[in-house]
Amino acid sequence: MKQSNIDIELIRKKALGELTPEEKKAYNEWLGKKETHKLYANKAEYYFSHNKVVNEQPADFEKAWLRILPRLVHKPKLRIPRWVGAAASIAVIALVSYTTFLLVKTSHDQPVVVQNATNIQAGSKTAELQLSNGQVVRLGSGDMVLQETDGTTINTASSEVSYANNVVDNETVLYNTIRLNKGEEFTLTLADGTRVWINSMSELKFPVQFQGDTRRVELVYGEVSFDVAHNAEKPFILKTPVHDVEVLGTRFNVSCYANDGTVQTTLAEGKVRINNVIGQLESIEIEPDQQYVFDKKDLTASVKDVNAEAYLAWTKGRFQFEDENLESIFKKLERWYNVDVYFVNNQARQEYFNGRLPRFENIDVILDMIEEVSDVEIELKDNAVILK
Amino acid sequence: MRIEDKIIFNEIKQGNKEVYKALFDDYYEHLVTFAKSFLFDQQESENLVQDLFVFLWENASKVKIETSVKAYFYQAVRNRCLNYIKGLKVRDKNHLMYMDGMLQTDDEVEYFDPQIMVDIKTSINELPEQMAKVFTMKMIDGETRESIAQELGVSVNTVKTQLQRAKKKLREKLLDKTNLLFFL
Repeated sequence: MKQSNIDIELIRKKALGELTPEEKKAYNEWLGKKETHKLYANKAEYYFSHNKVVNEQPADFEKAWLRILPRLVHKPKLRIPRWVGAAASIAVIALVSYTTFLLVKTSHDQPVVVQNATNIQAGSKTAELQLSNGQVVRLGSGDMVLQETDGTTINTASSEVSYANNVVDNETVLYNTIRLNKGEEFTLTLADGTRVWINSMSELKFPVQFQGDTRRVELVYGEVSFDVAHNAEKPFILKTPVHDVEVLGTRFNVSCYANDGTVQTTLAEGKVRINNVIGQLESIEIEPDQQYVFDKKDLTASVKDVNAEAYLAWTKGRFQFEDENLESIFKKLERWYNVDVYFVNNQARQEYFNGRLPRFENIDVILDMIEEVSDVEIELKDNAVILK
Repeated sequence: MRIEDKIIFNEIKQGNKEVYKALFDDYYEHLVTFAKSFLFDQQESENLVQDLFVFLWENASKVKIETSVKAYFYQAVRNRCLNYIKGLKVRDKNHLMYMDGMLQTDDEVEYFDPQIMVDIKTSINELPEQMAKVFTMKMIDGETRESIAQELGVSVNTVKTQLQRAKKKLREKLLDKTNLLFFL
């Protein structure tokens, strides 16, 4: 069989105009085979004559990292602390008061009422805001009035930050970034009146004023809920690492965490269109109480029917689970409480639950509720939650 | 395998994202530069290196590091690049692109194939004296620019310029040499 590969040296010599007639023949034969060969040859030629690549630019670490981050879905191996084996049991927790929250295991419907106690506290309404000049401001401690360089007024209150719809003459669009750590949540009102609830471990980048014919914001990672101000003239587009969500006026939730295998877009009201999906050409519209699930590993997507309010419940101060397994429930708790969760009993991951849990209670309350209705034994030591 | 590399790798196997991020910060740019010598394209090279990092995260427990993390990275990028050009029916028989890529990065070249190393050393001897000295100290002995400057009694800037010129010259020499090899 004839060897059809050519050496890179031929391409270099072609660029320098040094091919012998024989080499030229081999080169042209290769070149004519495929369009991709031509493309590559053009790029090579540019490289050898200019000593840089056609689209040369400094490698952008930040951007590259943000593209890698959502793809890191593998679960690190369990690392169980040494003391887990010890028979130490947790001291009985003092019972304080009754709450009205219920948690029901999917397989049986005995509602359980659980009691209050204190230990690891719930998260708080705090955040960090980065202005267009790079300055970082801590939010959540009280009222402040800030001003962007284009004149936009930013009002901050104890659990909320809002952008005034100022008339600005600035041509360039200024961006701010709001960043939340573990155990934080915050509310943001954009210049067009759109309300955004931002959950723990999230980062959202947005313009301080919307200019042009679309309103674009970017969820770098994490979870956000939107109540988009209606404006048919100016579609609202939320960009995520894997696709865009285009809306006209609606309430929806997007959850996009590095340690989740999927990105979920849940619609409560109105209509949204999912565009620019990685690896797919078609866009798709979803209806209220539907959820678009994008699988980051296979790059596949599906739409399923859900109770949307359950996915937006966190914006109203509670956790709400609809047939959700313990693994997923504990991922959410882990983001909100300062704890690490270990499953010693692997079967426990797959126990499914329905129900509601309070979001602003100490973790003991929550763990008690789960323990009551499940087959797992939960141990809390320092900041580790161990499920046995 | 060096002990630091062992620790680094163990952490990544355990899912330590901070260590992983630090590794990314250290190597990303160098590896992209290296890949560009094979792919001649910024975006494609960035994609290729990003894919490698994701692969490493997902397969850390399976990845075998023989010598060092650094050697692993360059070898892995090289293999991926060779695969990429193989798809275009192109090969790099005389390691032309490999050498070129190594000289383009700002990293030490300690991980060249032994044969290529011999070629490089011969070519270094043909460089002007100080240039050869600076190049050897930085690229082969792995000294910092600052310590080279101090040792030779010149400014750090001079070291930088000398290094750049040395690389450029060396690259030309090496490319000519493969040219010759190619004719034989």
